[in-house]
Amino acid sequence: MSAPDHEPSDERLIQSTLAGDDEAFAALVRRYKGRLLGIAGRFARNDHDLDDIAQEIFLKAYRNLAKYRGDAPFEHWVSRIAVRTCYDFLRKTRRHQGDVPLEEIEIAVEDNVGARRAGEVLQWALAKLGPEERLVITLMELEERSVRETAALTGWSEANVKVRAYRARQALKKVLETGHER
Amino acid sequence: MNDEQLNELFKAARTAAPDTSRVGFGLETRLLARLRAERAQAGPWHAFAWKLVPVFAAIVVALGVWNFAGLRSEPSDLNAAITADVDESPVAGYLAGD
Repeated sequence: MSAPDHEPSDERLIQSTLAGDDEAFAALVRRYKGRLLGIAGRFARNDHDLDDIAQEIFLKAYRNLAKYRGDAPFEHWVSRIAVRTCYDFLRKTRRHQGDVPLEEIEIAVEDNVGARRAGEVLQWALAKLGPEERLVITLMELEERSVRETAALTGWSEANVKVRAYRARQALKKVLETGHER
Repeated sequence: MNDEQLNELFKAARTAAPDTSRVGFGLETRLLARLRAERAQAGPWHAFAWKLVPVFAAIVVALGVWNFAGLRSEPSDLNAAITADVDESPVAGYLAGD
């Protein structure tokens, strides 16, 4: 995402923010909140979680803005912060949700499944996985990020991403097959 | 469950993008309010340092007075007073290579 012609560029807004202009930072938030909430929304359990994660992402960006060198687009830089914040959230809040009856999972993976129900079942199953497994599945399968993009966002090597993605899929299949905790 | 079924599940779940509109509404306003509250609570360190200027000034003045008073009570030949009781022979021997 880049700024339209009639709006100030990211670089200009960043410089203004660093000079103490809060409204410039608000403009940056307005510009990128949709994209970043889209990422965070895949990890949050509810609106309260999502609000916490979103605020944490932008506060980290604000506090570290002076470290942004401009060698990559601002969107990439702030997306990495978002992914790292989501990962930290998963590590802190990993909880075991109630089991879903096996029949519901079978219904969900049948051809007549609704998107909403599929999303719920997948969220339930992902909650049974570890933070790294959940992160890689979310980025690669739900956000449809490439191996290279996932590596850039997580800081893992591409080989590591591939291995983790494979293991995460196996783990997810196992959870969905059994309907229980691994 | 095979890979095909899993991919179908992913495909269906992708179409159900999470609704973030409620959280997105007014997010920047909440963020700015939080930043301002944090600033008001903590305050920048240099603002706190400025409050300590009178204390540091008083310490400097006290040190100056103490130093001045101390000098007045010392003998006029300060170097002689310092080195009066010092045995210089080890130093002289060391410098001569003995």
